[in-house]
Amino acid sequence: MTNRELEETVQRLVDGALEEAEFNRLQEHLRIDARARAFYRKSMEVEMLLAEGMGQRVEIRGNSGGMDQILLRRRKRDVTRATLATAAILLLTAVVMTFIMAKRSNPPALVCDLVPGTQWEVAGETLESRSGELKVTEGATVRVLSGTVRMALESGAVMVLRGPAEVRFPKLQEPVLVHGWLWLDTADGAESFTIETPGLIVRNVGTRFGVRVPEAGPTEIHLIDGVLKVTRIDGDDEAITLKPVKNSGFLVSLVGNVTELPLATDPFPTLRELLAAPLDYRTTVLGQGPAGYWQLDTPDEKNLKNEIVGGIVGYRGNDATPGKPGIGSEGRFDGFPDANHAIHLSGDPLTSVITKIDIPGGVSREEGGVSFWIRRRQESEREEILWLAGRTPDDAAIFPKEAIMHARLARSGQAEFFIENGKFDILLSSNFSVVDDRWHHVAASWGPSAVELYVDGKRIGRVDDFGSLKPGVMQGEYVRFGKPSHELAKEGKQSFSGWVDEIAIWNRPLGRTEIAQQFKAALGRTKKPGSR
Amino acid sequence: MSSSNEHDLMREFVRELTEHQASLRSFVGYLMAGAQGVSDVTQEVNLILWEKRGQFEIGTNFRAWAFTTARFVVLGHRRRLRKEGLLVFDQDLIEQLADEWQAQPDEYQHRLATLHTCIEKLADADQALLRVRYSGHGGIERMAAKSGREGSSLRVRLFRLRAALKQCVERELAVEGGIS
Repeated sequence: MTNRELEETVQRLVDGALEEAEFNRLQEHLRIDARARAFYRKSMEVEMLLAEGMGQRVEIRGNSGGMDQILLRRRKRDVTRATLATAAILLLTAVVMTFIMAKRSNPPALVCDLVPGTQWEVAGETLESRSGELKVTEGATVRVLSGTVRMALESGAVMVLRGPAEVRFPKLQEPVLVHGWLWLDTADGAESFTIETPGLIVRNVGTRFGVRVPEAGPTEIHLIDGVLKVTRIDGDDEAITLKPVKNSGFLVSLVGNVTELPLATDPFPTLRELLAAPLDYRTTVLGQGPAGYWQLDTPDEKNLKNEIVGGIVGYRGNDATPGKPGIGSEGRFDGFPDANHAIHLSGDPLTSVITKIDIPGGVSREEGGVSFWIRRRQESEREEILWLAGRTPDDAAIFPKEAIMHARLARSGQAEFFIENGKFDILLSSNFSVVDDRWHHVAASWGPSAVELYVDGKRIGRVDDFGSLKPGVMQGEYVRFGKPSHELAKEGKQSFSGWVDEIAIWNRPLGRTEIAQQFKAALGRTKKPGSR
Repeated sequence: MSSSNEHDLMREFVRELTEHQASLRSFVGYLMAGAQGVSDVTQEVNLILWEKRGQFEIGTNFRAWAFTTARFVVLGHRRRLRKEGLLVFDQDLIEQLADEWQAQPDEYQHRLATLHTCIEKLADADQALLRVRYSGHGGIERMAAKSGREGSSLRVRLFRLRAALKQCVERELAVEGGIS
């Protein structure tokens, strides 16, 4: 297609005069030719500018009153729109009437149970965890800001929604997952379910599985049992059939490509216990679905138990010493029952370290989250490394030579979080010291849209103009707490000398509400974590 | 959050939405390739953004958020149009076009001002023709009947005007160094 032909075709397109064959030819041309797309973009831009600049524009005031005009602006002559508006009102009335009638006849509903600490919204109303029976009916939109919601149908089928997540329920058996995690166990498999994600429809054939719509990138499907059929919403191609693969889930792209990824942890086995547990820091963190969570409460062992079933066991060095119960605030994080322990790191350059705090599939450079508690005395002005995920370029050593991302204490005590990202490295810093012999909650989150640092539940740093995060994964010994990488040690950064507790790592970005909820849950137990 | 903060947040949200309204509409039109319902889809995007305003944070990239929302709404609308048998781009192409648009710097208002400058350079009759075509106050055929000219000749003239305006905008921006 020549430029002239392209120009004519685009103009006929905007005039609504294009035949189907011409349209298809244009589409094919745009698909394969970047220059044609640029030409189309500029042509359409002028077209829309003309539409905007030649009289269709409606002036909009720059205050809240302007919202009415933005939301309600109409072309006076547009009779069709008036008709549509009337139809919409009638339809809305019909929906409301249907809803009222349905309420009267006790409609099918999802009966909801919440993991303690969960914060969620149904149709815009924010609800904290509370007792009593909660139901979600057809037409509802459910947003989980933090935590986990169990939703059961009369048939025995159970859905688990893990925040941050948003699901619409046009029908109870046909949820639309806008983002986040939705798990489904259809019990005996008698009932048919479909989950719609942006671009895909997942149909179960007697299954237990999880679907995740991340902030960016393809939909993830984690199949524990049964068979799934996946189709593209806009595709005419046949359904893809998925069957369980040991330790593997699936990434399904919008064009139907399937690749494997590490299988996420099945939430169902531990759900009953979690729902019955008291509200505390542990249940709050577990409700947020971490990929690894080390409470550091196994004082007699070098191996550090991972609270996630099947999770990777951590390991403490010789100069990482567990605190004992009964030593009061010295060794115990205040937000926990008496049996809680913390670990004291001496700051020794060799053996003061907690290692192998890794997650299945490794820590991704592109998205993830980490949280922990620290406490350090005001003794010396040292730059000290807290959490670190690094690599050794040739994989020849069992220690990280380079730190790809790490949290640290600055010389004057500020908490900092750093990501090595090629031309655009990211450094976030608190503007206050956390070295005051008090417990502080530190959390960092990174993903396609932002990198954030939080201290004591509050966001104290955020950057979102970095373009994108470089790909890569850090694993095994290269994910640790308390000890610098070789390169950082050469720069004068030292091992952490203080207390650490409750290290948790996520394979997705953490939300603001989630981190606030963690801190709030810790406050709820006893006295303020910052106090002695 | 204090009511004062909420008020600031709301003002900022409305300011951002207002500022990006025209470019949002333009983006929707571009993805929909001449299909019906650009206003309705833009309206739907506005409503969704309004409903989700609680997620908005001052200082974040409103444009990226709004355009990503618009992209999903267009894809949804596309499904409806396709079911009705209307001509719409494939989803993959829409995604590709959206990516390329969003990768461009946001200079919509500047381009609009430049277009006005270019329009002012046109003859009165040509400006009138553009007004007829784009203001929605009468069709080309009606104007043809009124002016005694053939509708096809006006359409050819319109074709040339659009091409000339496109070149003018590109040339003006290139002179200013505002375009690569």
